Amino acid sequence: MSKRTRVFLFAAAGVLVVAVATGLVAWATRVSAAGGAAEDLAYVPATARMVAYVDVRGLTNSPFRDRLRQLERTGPAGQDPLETQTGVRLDTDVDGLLIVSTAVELAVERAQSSLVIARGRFDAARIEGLMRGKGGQIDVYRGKRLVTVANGTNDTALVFAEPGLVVFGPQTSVRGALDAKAGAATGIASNGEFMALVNDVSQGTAWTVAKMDSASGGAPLPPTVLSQLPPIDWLAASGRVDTGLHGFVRAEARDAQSAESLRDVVQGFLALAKLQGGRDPAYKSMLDSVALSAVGKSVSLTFDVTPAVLDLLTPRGSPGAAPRRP
Amino acid sequence: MSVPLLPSTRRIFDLALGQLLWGRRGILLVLAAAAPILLAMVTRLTLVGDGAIVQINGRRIDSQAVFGTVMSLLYLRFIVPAIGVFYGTSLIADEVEEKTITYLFTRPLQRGAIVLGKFLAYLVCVTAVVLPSAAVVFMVMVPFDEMASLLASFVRDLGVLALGLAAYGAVFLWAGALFRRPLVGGLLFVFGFEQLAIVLPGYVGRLTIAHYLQADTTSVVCLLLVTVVALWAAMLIIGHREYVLER
Repeated sequence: MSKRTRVFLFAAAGVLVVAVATGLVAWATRVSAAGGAAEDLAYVPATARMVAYVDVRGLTNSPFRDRLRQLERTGPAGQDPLETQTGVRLDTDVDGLLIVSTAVELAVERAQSSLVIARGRFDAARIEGLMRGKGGQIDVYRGKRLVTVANGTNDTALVFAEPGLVVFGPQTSVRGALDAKAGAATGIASNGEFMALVNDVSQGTAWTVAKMDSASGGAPLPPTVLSQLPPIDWLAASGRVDTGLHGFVRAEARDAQSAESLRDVVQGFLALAKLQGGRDPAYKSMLDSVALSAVGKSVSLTFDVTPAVLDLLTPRGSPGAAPRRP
Repeated sequence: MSVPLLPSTRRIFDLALGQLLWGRRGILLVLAAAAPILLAMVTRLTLVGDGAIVQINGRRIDSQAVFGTVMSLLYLRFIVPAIGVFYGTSLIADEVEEKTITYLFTRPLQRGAIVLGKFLAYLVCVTAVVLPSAAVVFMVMVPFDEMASLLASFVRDLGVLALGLAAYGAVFLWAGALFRRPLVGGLLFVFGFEQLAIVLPGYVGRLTIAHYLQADTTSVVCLLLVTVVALWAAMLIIGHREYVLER
């Protein structure tokens, strides 16, 4: 082999290595900074069936939210019970909200349990006082003050795991979250498939990843709907809000054939929706923005709710509600 | 007395690799590698520019979508088959055409080693050009913050590209060993039959290599099987055939 051939082959291999290394660096940095939820995901145990995240601050500060408020028919302004009892105003005091649904093995059955991990500014003393008022007991677990309420109807716990981070839910789940954070239990980060989907959607203002396990009753869809669909392993969705809403839904089917069937089913629903809502300019515009694609086992759907669509949905923007000219 | 298969293969490989890389057909490889990179640069500039927006059906197309299209339409549907036909058919047919195959046959080499050595040289040569070209397109076209989500499919695409080049190369090497002028037939197969068969309903598409250019187990097994069977058939032909060279 001549010298120039050898040099050429090394250069070619070098280009390949650089490209893959760049991709790996991008992947690694994205994992370590997967939106605002990255740090909070350390509290999610490996038994999680569904994880949903809302960037509350991003959502409340978005122009989309302002426009959406115009659509809401608000009654007389009343005090929010959450704010009254805890002093927490959801739209100003909470930055991010992570909701986790985990499978819990009970003595006779497997049940679902939800855990809330919220990051923001909280009045810890007031919230702890509220819990104690309901019979709460103080316990220390993994070096954290755990407030537990256990009676006939309730078995919940709350912990301020870090400054500005509260974990709330059933006692087993809260302890499980602290175990996962301490490394005493396997965390969700060990599930490569789950994390890959999280990476795909975590740029959204709100996102969710769910394991579709109908056998354990953990699927986020009703069994009647699931039975009509081809087998799906994972479902991921995200919504990015700015002046509009950019939605993305991805389903991982069991195999390529199931993915094709799923795409056909969704395509059928879209056709029906276009038939039903095609006459309304607002819905027509939204339906026109829907793009469906299937690659391998993945079926993806994207859609946009643009400011123009919101204008059409608001009473002032709706042609039907326009004031009549004299 | 002929040298065993592996040392013979290595000798042919060394000889053929230099010929393939620095020969006349190298221009085709350079074009095949450079054209997508140029296209990627233009597309990226268009996508980042404020003035121009690439839209299909009124929908803005992002760099990820463009990269996927480039990989499937440009590389897998055009570059890989084209290189397979031009290079694969020439590996043996050119030696016959230029009457130099006699020199190889008179050397103390196993005849099968000629096929194997030339095929391996072809594979190294084309993968060393096409795969880095795809890698550069990836780096140019996909923004850094979007690379993470595309990395797995990009690596899979590289594998499919390599397997596709191997399968097409082996099949057309076999055609080059069997037929006197295989290029026209090869072009008709790749750009006629395959393109038609893929859009036809039913099972006709499964008779094409293009159908298996996917990153799933069945397709990978099929591509490997096609490569091995075609190589084995070409080695059999070369081993038993007496080439009558025209004066």
